[in-house]
Amino acid sequence: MMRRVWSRLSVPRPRTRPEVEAEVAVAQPPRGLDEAIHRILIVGLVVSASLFLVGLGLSLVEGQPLPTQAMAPGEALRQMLAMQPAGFLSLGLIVLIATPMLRVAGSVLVFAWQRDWRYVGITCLVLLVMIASVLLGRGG
Amino acid sequence: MESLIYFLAAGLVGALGSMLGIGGGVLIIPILTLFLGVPVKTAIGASIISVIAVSSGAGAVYVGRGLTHTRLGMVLEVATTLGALAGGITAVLVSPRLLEGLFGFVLIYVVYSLRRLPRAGEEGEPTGLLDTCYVDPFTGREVTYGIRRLPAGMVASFLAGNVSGLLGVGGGIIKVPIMVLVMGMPMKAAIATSNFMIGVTAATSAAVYYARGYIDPQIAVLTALGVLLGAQVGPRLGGRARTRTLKLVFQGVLLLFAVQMLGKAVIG
Repeated sequence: MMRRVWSRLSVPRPRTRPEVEAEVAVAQPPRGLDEAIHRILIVGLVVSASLFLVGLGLSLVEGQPLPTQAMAPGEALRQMLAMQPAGFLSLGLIVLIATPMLRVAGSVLVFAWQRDWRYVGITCLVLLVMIASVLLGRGG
Repeated sequence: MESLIYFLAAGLVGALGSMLGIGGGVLIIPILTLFLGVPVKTAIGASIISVIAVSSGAGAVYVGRGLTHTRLGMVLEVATTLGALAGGITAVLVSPRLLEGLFGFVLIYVVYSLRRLPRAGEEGEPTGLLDTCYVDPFTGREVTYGIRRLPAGMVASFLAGNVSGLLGVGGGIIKVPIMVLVMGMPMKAAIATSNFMIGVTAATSAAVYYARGYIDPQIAVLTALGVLLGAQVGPRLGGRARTRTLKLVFQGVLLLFAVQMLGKAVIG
């Protein structure tokens, strides 16, 4: 099965430069969508850093010690809505960890846009491993 | 007060790391465990969080330059995420002393790999496998290249992901030399692609650490913010001329940490 994957990824004969260039030109995703996907990284980082700063600020104002245990997403959201610093910090951590996952999900969209189903498959595989890590971490 | 120390130490690490083009993990973990008395698994959890933060920040910059080989990155990520998942699960199960020992050896490898950064592979050439091209941001020249020895690259990526998940480092220092020397990628493309992959790999094992309670918000949040801030300041401080001296000092410190980590692993 592995061998079949390799042979599908490779092209048997070396191609000429014009051919390579033609493929590269096709391979470029549409500019707008590409930018939007990359923006996921920055937005995720800014959102989580903001949650961190609000959480730290609140704990400073209220004179509470910083939490040493992270909490599950649902509990974190509940505590954030109750303006508890611990909720903000945990949620910031969750957003930070989720950002690369969303970025991979975004790549699935880019490849689907390009009708590059082979890479839609490969990227979905990466996404599956990441989802497995969330599930395996929680259970057992 | 304790919090302030985490933040300042991480800021220093971030600044130093960005000057040398190295992720913070190799420094954060020994500082937290050796000097601040943080249990090694909690230190790994904090480190992996700051690795994600730095990668997300850097990714957006590199990607704009079009150096990242997204397709290759995705193919290799199948291997790195599997490695990271296995590494994360292993790390929560094994004894802290084993992790400290392994970390000591990885530090020695890092010291060694800093000695001879590969100069080859600036060019690269089309191979018919995953050919792509980019415009070199410094010379303005168009570079077209393809990938060699993908299976070897996959195996190495699994190992890099495994080390990343097990020990909480980015693993770029393993991936970049392999991409350049084994897979025939140009250096700049290898660095950008490795960086693109690091966040995804780190997030995979971070999810395991988070669920198993090895991410301590106090330490992880302050470390991540410190490293992020340091990484912004670092490049503005380090002049080109001082990089050599800086690297030498850095190697010395890492070697010292390696010995201490190994000592901690043996004595407990």
